[in-house]
Amino acid sequence: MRVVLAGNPNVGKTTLFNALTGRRQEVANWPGTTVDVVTGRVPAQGGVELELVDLPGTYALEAYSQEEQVTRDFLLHQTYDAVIVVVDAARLERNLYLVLELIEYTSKVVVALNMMDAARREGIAVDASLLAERLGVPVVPTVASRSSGLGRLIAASTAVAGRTELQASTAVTHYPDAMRRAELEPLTRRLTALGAALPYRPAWVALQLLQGDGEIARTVAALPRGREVLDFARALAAREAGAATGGGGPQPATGAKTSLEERQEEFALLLADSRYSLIADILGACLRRRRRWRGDRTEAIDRLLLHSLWGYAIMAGVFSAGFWLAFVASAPLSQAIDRVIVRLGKVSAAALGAAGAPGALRSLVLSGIFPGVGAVLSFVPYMAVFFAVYQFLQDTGYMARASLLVDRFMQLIGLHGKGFFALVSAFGCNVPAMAATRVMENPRDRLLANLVIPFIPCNARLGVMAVMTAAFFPGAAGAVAMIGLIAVSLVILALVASLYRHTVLPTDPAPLVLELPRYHWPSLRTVLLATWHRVWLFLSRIWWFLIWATIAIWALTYFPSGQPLDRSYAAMIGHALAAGVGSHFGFDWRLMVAILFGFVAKETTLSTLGVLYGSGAGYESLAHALTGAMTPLVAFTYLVVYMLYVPCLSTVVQMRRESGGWGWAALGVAVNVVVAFAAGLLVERIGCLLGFAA
Amino acid sequence: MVCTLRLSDLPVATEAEVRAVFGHPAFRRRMLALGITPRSLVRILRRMPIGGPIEIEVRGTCLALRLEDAREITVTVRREIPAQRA
Repeated sequence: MRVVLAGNPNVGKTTLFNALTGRRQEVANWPGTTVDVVTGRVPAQGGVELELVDLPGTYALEAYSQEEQVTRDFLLHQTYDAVIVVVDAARLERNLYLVLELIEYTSKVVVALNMMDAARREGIAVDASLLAERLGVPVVPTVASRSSGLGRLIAASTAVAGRTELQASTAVTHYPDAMRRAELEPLTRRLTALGAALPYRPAWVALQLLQGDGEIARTVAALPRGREVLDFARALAAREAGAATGGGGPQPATGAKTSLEERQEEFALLLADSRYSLIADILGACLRRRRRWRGDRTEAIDRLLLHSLWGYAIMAGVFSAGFWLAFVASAPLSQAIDRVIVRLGKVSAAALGAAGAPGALRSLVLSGIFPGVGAVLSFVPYMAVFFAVYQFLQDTGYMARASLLVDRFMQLIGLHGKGFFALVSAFGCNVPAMAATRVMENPRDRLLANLVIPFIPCNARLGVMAVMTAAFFPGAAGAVAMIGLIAVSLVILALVASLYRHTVLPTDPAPLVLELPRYHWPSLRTVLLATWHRVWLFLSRIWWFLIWATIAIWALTYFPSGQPLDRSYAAMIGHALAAGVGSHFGFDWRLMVAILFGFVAKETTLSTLGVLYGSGAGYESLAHALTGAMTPLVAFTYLVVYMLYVPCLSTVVQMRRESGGWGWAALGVAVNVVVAFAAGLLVERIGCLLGFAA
Repeated sequence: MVCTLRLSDLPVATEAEVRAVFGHPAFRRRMLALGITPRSLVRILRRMPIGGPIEIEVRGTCLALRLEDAREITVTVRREIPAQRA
């Protein structure tokens, strides 16, 4: 038996899902989207095991974001035995809208009246049995965070699943009589006549056609005799449109279309109005407000957190703490994993040597496979802590506030406030930053953020930059060089974002709407499960690429067998690149090889340079080797190119995933490379003109 | 006295009644679903600095809208507009 969970965002739906399923969960990507859908199993109760599907939060059946489209697609095209609509007992007025929409669509609805405890704290009492009577579907009070009401919820879902869809309609909304007589009933009769070929309830389809729902219109048109019914629906609306504009005569061709759309808008307005009138009526009977919840906790906190001065100061503090946890506090763990892997590699290579394995195999294990595995695993602490922090800020409701604070500034680069956290966190690591762009509901905004994130230097790149600037620009000049580099990256980010906005990704007309949920302390389980799902999805996607790339790099430096490093294939590629590209910038073959290999993981750049300059990766010797090999101008140019060029392999894989295809990822990479070398050339020329060449 | 103005011009903390929502159809439909329907009551809770978004309360929930989108919503106020109107 399959039961789906639907509901508005921030109603505790996922907490309820976790409470019901425990750890028996699986996460999968919804085909063709970047939306993850989690399914879980509820242990056998009375013999049947439930499969529970946690659908993305939605405000209405009509989709506005990609998440909502997944929910709509699931509800309309998949099979299931019951729908549990989770509602926030303290926000019933808005929450019941989705309930009314869904009970028009299917009779297999159960309402989970969640957050009963929060409602009680706000002085709101809801009469669940009266609500059930008025809605005509079971209503079960629950407190997901304390696992209360779960048994009854499952029992109610099982009972509802037993109903057949053909039973009497559960729709309760009373639409205006005139509209029912003139449009709804005649159209419903025509649709009923189409018979069993129509996959939905005729009355529901009638409502969608009158509102001008394109998808449902296409479904109807595809049926035998469906086109006639569709024409009938349009004629109904058009006739009314003609009457409404006062002209009985023929409409001009272009005007007619506008009038039809206007009329459909009018229908949508009428339907929403009827639903909200019914909700007001129902709540008048079922809801008791013991006191006015003026001066409630959330508003008191917001007075501080959204303050025009303190709000920004606190946000800086919160984000700094979050990044410190994710990228500094987790570093020892990353290094420990790395050390263990390296040691294991050495032990294995020694064991192979003792067993008489050939040198190439030992080298492959020591310098190919183990570093590859290490590169994958050393990501885990970053990712895990980052996602936990992210999920925590999201679940508490703080992320929505931060988005509100920075929205005005983000508009300058054509993005909105929801993208801020992603962009800032890109300074830590680009990969989770791209995952964090998912809070933006507009696919174009998300794509734009993904395409510009690689221009932000991550932890690994900042580390390389810090070492090289310290070597070439001692003292205060180093800080100036570092700030200069970051300023370059931000200017370029703004320029490239506006370039994308004016070419392939124009601003979508659908604007920003942000709900500010009540503050709420998230449960540890919810945060940890979400973290686990994200880390798992990332690793399952990346390990294959990383291990092969590491082995490929090993092969390039190892072969032709028996030759020193400067005669390897890697060196040949480096020489070719230096002759073709590097010479314009003053980069020798070693710098080109380091750029090329940095693609796998930027963390390795310092050790690559150490090996290539024959100095080892120790700071003193590497700094000495580097300063002897190039001028400060070449070094600065190199850092500009290094900071901006192709993001690392993990980033590209993540970009492909978040943008939904290799096409966008390829465009992003191409733009990165071109912009990086163009900026490098510009810096080099300006530097020469200013006389820094020597 | 009844006075019609744009939601973006409504003074903070003044209760008003929604009259109409204009703008892109997707935006209008979304406003309907979120409860911003004609005759619903709205109130601005706060404005973000330098022309940033506004936070409004409608039907017991708090929403943030950009100022340019709030211009697409007209509201009526039943009282005299206070003198400090921005």
